Amino acid sequence: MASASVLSPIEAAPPSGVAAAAPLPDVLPPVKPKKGFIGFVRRNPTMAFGAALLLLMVLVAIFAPLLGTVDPTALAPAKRTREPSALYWFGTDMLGRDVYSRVLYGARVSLIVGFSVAILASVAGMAIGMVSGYVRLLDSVIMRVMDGLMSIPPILLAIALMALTRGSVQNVIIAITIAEIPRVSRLVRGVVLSLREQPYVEAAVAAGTRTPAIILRHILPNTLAPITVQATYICAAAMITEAILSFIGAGTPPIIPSWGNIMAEGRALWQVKPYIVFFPAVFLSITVLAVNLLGDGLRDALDPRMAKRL
Amino acid sequence: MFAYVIRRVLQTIPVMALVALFVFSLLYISPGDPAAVIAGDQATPQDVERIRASLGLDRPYLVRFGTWLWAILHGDMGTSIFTNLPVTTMIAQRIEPTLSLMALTLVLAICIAVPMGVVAAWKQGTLIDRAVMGFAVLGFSVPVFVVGYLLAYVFALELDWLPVQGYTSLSNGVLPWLENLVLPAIALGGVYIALIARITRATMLEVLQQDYIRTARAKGAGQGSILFVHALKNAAVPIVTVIGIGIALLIGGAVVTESVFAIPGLGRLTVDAILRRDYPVIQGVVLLFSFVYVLVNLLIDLAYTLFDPRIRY
Repeated sequence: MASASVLSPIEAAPPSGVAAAAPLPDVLPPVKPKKGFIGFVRRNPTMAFGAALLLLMVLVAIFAPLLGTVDPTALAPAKRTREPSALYWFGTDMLGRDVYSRVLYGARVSLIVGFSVAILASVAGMAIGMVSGYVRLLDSVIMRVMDGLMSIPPILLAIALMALTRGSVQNVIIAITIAEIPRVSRLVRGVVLSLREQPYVEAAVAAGTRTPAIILRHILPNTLAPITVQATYICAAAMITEAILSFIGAGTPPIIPSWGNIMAEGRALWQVKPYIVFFPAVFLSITVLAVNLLGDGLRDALDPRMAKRL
Repeated sequence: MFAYVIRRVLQTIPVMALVALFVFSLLYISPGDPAAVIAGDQATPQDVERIRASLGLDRPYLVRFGTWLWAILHGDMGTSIFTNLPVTTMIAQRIEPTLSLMALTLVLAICIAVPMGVVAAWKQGTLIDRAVMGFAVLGFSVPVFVVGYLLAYVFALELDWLPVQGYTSLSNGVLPWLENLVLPAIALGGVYIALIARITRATMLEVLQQDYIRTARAKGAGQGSILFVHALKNAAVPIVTVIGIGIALLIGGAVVTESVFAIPGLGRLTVDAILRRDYPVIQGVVLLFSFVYVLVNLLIDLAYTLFDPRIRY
C-alpha cells in the first residue's frame, strides 16, 4: 500500500491524545450489484411490493372457491345482516349472503376489468397513436377527434356509454376502454413524433430501411416502456371506474358480485352495518394501491432520470 | 396576443362541435322510440308515424343534428322523458350544490396541495418528502367513495361533529353550508390533492435548481420568500395546467360523492337519469360538464401570460 501513504501524508502523524482512525483502504471494494431475485427486490422495493400484493390478489381471485368461501349468490334470508364472526368472517348482507365469499369472488371482476381495459386501451391507443404520428394527413383529424373525446370527463363518458347498453362485464370493459383510449393515443403519438427525430431512426432511413421495418424495429420497441407504465395506471383507473359504475347502478349487473355492487347494496344500511361497505372498500383500495405501486416502480426502473423527480 | 386569444377561442369550436356530435349520437342510437312512448299503447301505426313526423324524428341524421344544435344554442336542451320538465330547468334546480361542492373542493385542494408539494420539494429526500409522496400514492389509490364513507363514519357517526348527509343552501347561512360540505369536499379532493401535490413537487424541484434561486439566496432573501415568491411563481404554469386538467377528476368524482353524501346536485341527477334511462337529461348533463371543462381549460391557457410574462404570443 505504498501509494496510500503518498496520497495521504496526514495519517502518518496523528495528534497525541487522539485515537488514530483505522487507515482507509485506498481502493473501495467494487460495488457488486446483487443478482437474482434478492437483488431485484433490493433495487426496486416499490415495484416488488406492488407486484407481490397484486399477485396475492390474483391468487385470491383464482382460488376463491378453495378459500373457505360458499356460493356468493346463495340467499339465506334467515341469516341476514349478521355481524362479522368466526362463522361469517365479513358478516352477511341484507339478503343473508356471505360477504367474505362475495368480496373474494368480487376480486375476479375487478381484476378482469382492470387487466382487459389496460391491454385493450394500450393496443388500440398504440395503433391510433402510431398512425397519427406517422401519417401526417390523418394526424390532425385523429387528434381533433381525440381532443373532443378528451373534453368529456372519462367517468362521465363511461357512464354515458353504459346508459346505451345493458349492464354486463363486457360492456363495462368496452365503455371504460373507449374512455381511456384518447390519453394513450396522445402519449404514443408524442413518443413517435420525438422518436422520428432520433439519429438512429434517421440513420435507418438513410440506410434505406423500409418504413414498416423502421416502425416495427426502431419505433415500436421504444414506445413499449412508456406504454407499459401508462397501462398500469390505466388498469388502476379502470378498476376504480368499474367500482364507481357498479356503485351508481350503471355497471356490472347486480347478480355478479363485484366490489362496486357489494358497496351499492350495503349503501342503504351503511350507518348501522358499516362492514358491508367496509370490506369491499378495503380490498378495492389495496388492489388499486398495488397496481399504482407497481406502476411507480416500473416508471422509476424504466426511466431513472424521472425517478428523482416524481 | 389578441390574435392568439382569437385563435385559441376558435380552436375550441371544433372540439365542442365534436362533443356535441357525440352527445347527440348518444340520443340518436339510444334504445326506445320516443314517438311510440308519446303515442301510448292505443295508438295505431299511423298515429305513431304522424307523431314521429311532427317531432321531426323521420328526418335524416344530420338534419336532426342541426335542429338539435340550433335548439341547444338557444338554451333548449329538450324535455325529460321521465318528469316532462325542460332539461335546463332540471339542471338549474340542481346546479347550486354541485357548484358549491366543486368550488369548495378546488379551494381546499389548492390550499392543501400546493404548500405540501412546495415543502416536499424543499425537504427533498427527508421524511416529510416521503410522507407527502406516500400520501399522494394513497390519494390516487383510495377511491372517492371509500374516503367518503370513512370520513362520514368517523366524523359524523362516531364523533358526531358534522352532519352525516344532506345539503343546506348557501342562502341559509355560510356555516350550515360549510358543515354539510366539508366532508364531501375532503373526500372528493383526495385524488386532486395527490395530483396537484405531485406536480408541484416535481416542478419545484426543477425550479429550485435554477440560477436565479441561487441569486435570491445570495442576496439574502428569506427561505419562505425564496420558496413561495421566487420559485413558486416560476413553477406556476405546469401547476395551473394540472389544476385545469384535474377538473375532469372533480366532475367524475362529484357524481359519486353526491351519491355517498345524499347531496341533491347534478351528480345525483345523472345517476337518477341513468337508472331511468332518461336520455335527454344524461345528454344535457354530459354536454354541460364538458362545456365547463373546455371553458376552464381555455381560460387557463389564456391566463398563462399572467403567471409567466415571458410567454408571448
